[in-house]
Amino acid sequence: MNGLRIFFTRLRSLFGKRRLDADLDIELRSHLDALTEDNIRHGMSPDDARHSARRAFGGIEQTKEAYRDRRGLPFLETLAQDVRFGARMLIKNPGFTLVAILTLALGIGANTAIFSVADTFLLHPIPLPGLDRLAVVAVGQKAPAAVADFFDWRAQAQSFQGLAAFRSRDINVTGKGEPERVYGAEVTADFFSSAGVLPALGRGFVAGEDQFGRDPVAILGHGLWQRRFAANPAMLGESIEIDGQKSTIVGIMDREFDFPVPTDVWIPLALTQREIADRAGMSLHVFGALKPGISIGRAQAEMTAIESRLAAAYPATNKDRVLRVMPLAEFVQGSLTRAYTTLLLCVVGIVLLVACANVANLQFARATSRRSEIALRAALGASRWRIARQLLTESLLLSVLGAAASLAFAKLCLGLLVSNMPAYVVRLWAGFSHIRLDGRSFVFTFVAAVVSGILAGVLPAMETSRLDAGDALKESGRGTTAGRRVQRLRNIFVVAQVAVALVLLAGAGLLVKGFHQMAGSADAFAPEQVLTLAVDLPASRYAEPADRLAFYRKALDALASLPGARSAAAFSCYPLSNNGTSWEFFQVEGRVAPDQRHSPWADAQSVSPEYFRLMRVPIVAGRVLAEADREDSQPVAIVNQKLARLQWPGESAVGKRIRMGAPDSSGPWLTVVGVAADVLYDWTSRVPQSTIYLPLPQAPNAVSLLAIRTDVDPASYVQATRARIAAIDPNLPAFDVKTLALAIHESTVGLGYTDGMMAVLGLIALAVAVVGVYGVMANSVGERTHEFGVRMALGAQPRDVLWLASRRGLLIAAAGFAIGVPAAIACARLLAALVYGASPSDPATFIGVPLLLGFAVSVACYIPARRAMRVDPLVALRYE
Amino acid sequence: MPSSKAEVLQGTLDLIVLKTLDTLGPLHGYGIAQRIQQVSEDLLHLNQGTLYPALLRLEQRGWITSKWGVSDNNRKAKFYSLTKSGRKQLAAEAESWERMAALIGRLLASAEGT
Repeated sequence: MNGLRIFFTRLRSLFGKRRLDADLDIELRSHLDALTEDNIRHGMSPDDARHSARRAFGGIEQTKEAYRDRRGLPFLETLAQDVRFGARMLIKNPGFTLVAILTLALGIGANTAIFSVADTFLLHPIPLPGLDRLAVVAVGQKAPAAVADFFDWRAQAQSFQGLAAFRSRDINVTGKGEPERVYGAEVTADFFSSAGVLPALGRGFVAGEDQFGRDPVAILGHGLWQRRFAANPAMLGESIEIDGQKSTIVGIMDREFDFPVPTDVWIPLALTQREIADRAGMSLHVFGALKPGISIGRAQAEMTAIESRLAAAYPATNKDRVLRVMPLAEFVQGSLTRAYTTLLLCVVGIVLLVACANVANLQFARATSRRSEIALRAALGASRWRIARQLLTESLLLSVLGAAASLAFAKLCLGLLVSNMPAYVVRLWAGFSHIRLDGRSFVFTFVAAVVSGILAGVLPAMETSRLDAGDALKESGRGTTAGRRVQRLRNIFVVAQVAVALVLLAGAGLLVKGFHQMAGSADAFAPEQVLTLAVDLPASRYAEPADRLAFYRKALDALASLPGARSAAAFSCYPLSNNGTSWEFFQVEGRVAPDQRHSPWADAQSVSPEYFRLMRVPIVAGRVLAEADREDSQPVAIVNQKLARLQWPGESAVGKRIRMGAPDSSGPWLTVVGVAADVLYDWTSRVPQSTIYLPLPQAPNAVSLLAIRTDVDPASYVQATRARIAAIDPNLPAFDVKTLALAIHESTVGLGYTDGMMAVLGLIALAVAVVGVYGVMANSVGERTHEFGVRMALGAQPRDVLWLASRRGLLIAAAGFAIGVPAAIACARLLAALVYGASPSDPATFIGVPLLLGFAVSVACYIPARRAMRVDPLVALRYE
Repeated sequence: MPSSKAEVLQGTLDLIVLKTLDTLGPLHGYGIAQRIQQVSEDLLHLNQGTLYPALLRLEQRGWITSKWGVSDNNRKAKFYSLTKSGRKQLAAEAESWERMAALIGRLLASAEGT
């Protein structure tokens, strides 16, 4: 208590110091005066009286000093003094200050931006109030649970306050305007209470509403409510048609609420008795809030125990099921997000280290020119710690200023990142719409500033304060060279910078190149002239394959007859997408695998005959699919080259037979009639995989996409294609109507962004390293001006001086390369294993990047060296 | 620079100042110095300046308060007076001082006896 009061009175006295000093003055003066008067009264002469009073009083300045130390907080006052002095020193060296602040602003700003992204993606992807207590129970990695299993878990689990379930399903909304396809979620009645949210308007679902056969109800997402119903609150209680079923709107969610990402409409999960008993089909995602005091680990142990009981009771279905309890935040992360975000976090941290090394180097350089000042302080009694503290304070001042500037840079980065992302991607990407500089970003920035201030300042402060005052003063007045230790430290820093810049640039180069190769490969499909659209035939009205086939035939005819349309096709998946592929086992005639595990697998697609021509996929052997391949004709398939090579090496695939499914499947044998060129459908698989194309009439269920190729800009066909589909089925919305080029762009844009950010970070590292080399070179030339003058006076040629001056920089660069190139090659392997689209060995990158860096470093060496070459011997010698 | 000697002096000085204020009531720095000189009959040599940091310390601890006033010879001066908690502190310090003095006295007496 007392200590606290003393602290506050002391803290208060830091303000209004002048008045307090004046008060003390008056008090001491009146004491002295009284003492003097007393002495005079005792018979002393006025002079003697004054002197005697002084003696009795003791040192006035010492008294004041001791008083002030008691009064304020000496630590804070010294700090303020250091900051003031540091600020003066920084203003005196605007060039140094600007470069240091800019370097730190880039380094810290990039970190703040990436931190904000990572914090949102990894820790706060959805804005739920109790997110940190919400956990998901998944099968295997993230797979959904069987319905019957869910009800058993719910009945038995004690670790959770309750278990809720949901499954996403795209929904067609009709009535009140155009039919529209939206993101839907079927949820248990306790879904909203488990997530800890209430609708902004109306109510959540009540118990029992998720029973089968109840009157259908729905809750609208804010976006859909605004877009389709003009944010009209009177929509509450109204009914809309959901997949053709009249449903009453009972609630409208908050703007921020979007879970599962993305959802426009929530409807109760109404399960039939048959579904409730189903233990085989896995469709439900299960989550709940952990009870207070229960850890994920405890919940995991309990769920594992429950599942082992289920496995004993239902071995046929549950034998190999492994449950995993994980935080909800981890569950909603995209599968690639964590890898990419971690990569960026590491890289950006390294960039900050490089920036710190650079600022440290700048401080070393400046400390050399401040030797006499520092020596003077030491001679006047400043301890080494006191001097080091002063220097460290200056470094921290720099980093805090840099951090302030970095916020602007971070804001710019985030703005670019968020504003250029297509709305469609933002919608699907958990957390993307919440990326911003928030309180956590500011705290991070401050911490990063303090850490980098210390990192950049501690070695210069220690080394500079080590200085021997006597020696330094003796040499003062003359340009002096830094000590050998300092020189070596500085060299090491610059070598490290060059090496790290090389590694980062090479990594960025590989990523960017890999991405461009991939994006460039899309040109083969001429995607600008293709318009794709998706339809989702609801099972209620298109139950039979024949119904679906009939629809597609009508749709293809309608689309192909559009004026200007060259061809129309139906298919399952477009090239370079990152979903939509469907991996299936198959068997080769004569070599049926012993069990499912040993069966070969392929991406099974279903296409109409026109597909190959429309998508420009060449058929390299055999024939193309034809109209004659009908539902009742001989079952056929086209395979790609990779599959043909793997299954029938050295033989022709045409005429061979395969069968879809596990070894015991009863499907028909399909005759391979043609071999198509390889296409990379799922870019996350890096290289084209085995692909089987089935004719649409023989596999009408796997199709979901339609496309036309046109001669003119296909974007002008958007309305016309929608209208043609609506003419066939007015309640069936065509969605995702866009050019193939746009579709491919959207599926790869996340990767492109990561690569773009890597490139930016690599360039920042390059710039920082070049500044580092330049700084060391300029400094070393400055220190040696006198030496160069002497050499030239003694007959050295400008060329010799140029070599002498640039030698150090070139040696540094060479050392940086010697370390950087092998490190870059090693990192490339790591990178290729970690992320997609990076090729581990690319000679162009490994030659081009060192060349670029070498050129930049040479320029950084040449400019100061040229100055050395032009030194006028007379001026240099007189400069003494 | 203060050494271990100053520490001993510090505790003593606190007690002396508190006791002086307790006896004489509100007093300015000069008055306190004079009183100390007078009581100690010049046996205790005190740099009068050291009184002021000590007064500040006592004030920060809340044992004394200060108020500007006018001295006998018409000078502006700061008058220090004892607070309630200062009185308590004085009692406590006096007691511990007496205990210590008695202990040292006994120790010295027994040392003489041997």
